[in-house]
Amino acid sequence: MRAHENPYRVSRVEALGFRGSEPVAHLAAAVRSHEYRGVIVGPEGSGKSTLLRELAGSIAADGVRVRIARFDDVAALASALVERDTVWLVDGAERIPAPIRSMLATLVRRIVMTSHEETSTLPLLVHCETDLALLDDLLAELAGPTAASEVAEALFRESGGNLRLVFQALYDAAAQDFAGAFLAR
Amino acid sequence: MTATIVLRKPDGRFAPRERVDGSASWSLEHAPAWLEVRLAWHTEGKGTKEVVVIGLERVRGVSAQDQRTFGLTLPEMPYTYHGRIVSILWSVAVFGPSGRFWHREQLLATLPIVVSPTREPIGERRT
Repeated sequence: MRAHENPYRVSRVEALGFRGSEPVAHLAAAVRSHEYRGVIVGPEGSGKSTLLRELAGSIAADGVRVRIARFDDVAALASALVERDTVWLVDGAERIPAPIRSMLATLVRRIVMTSHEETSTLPLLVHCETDLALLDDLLAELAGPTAASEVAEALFRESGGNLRLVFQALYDAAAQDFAGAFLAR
Repeated sequence: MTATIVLRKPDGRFAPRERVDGSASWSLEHAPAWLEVRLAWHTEGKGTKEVVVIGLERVRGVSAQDQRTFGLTLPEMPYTYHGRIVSILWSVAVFGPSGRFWHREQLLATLPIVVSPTREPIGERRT
């Protein structure tokens, strides 16, 4: 299967909306009520980055400047210390060394971070979690009723619920027609 | 709210360095502050989508219902490629302002084209 036909291609996976326990609009309201500060907690592949992108759109509608900075974008993170009116959404913040992460959370006026655990310096916005029902929903949206749900569920368990890894593995399976091999495991 | 792209070469298959001529027409609720015809390629596949705009023509002072011709020249590379890990896809697209936010943009129309010396996508033979 060609890359642009693959139902699990990144552009399609990234286009899936956030499906959490609370609607994004409620979470955006929570960010506002905390003066644009907060932390999104969850394990790898649980939808934190997806939620962050969607929050960016909701917050920007308030008329405030919003920037998403990756954890390794040192220049952007340095700017966050001085651009005090901007709302900084830091993706992958759990990979930033703890002392620097703590400094950012303390010194940056408006900041929302992703993290694997709660922090004392930022209010908790939401715990992102995955389960098999969510996996089934996303699979149906990506690949329809023909989705290899048994394969996906096995991958889900193997990866500890990391949906990003599940879709990457399904991409490879679709690309190389290894679905049979997965099923045979 | 619609927009349409029509190419002078209706099959949409081009050789590198060839010129892509066509016209864009639109019917919008209000006269847009600007519209842009873009010639671009993007990747699809396992990695993050990359979009590269090769050429663009911006038009201003247009009506809500209007039409403009465009002509944009293709570069030597890359060719349209259909691989398993990544595909490279070319397209002509019309962008305009998004609602009342003139500085934000939205895609109004897109038309895929093929770019290669053989005018066929490069890629593995289907098995």
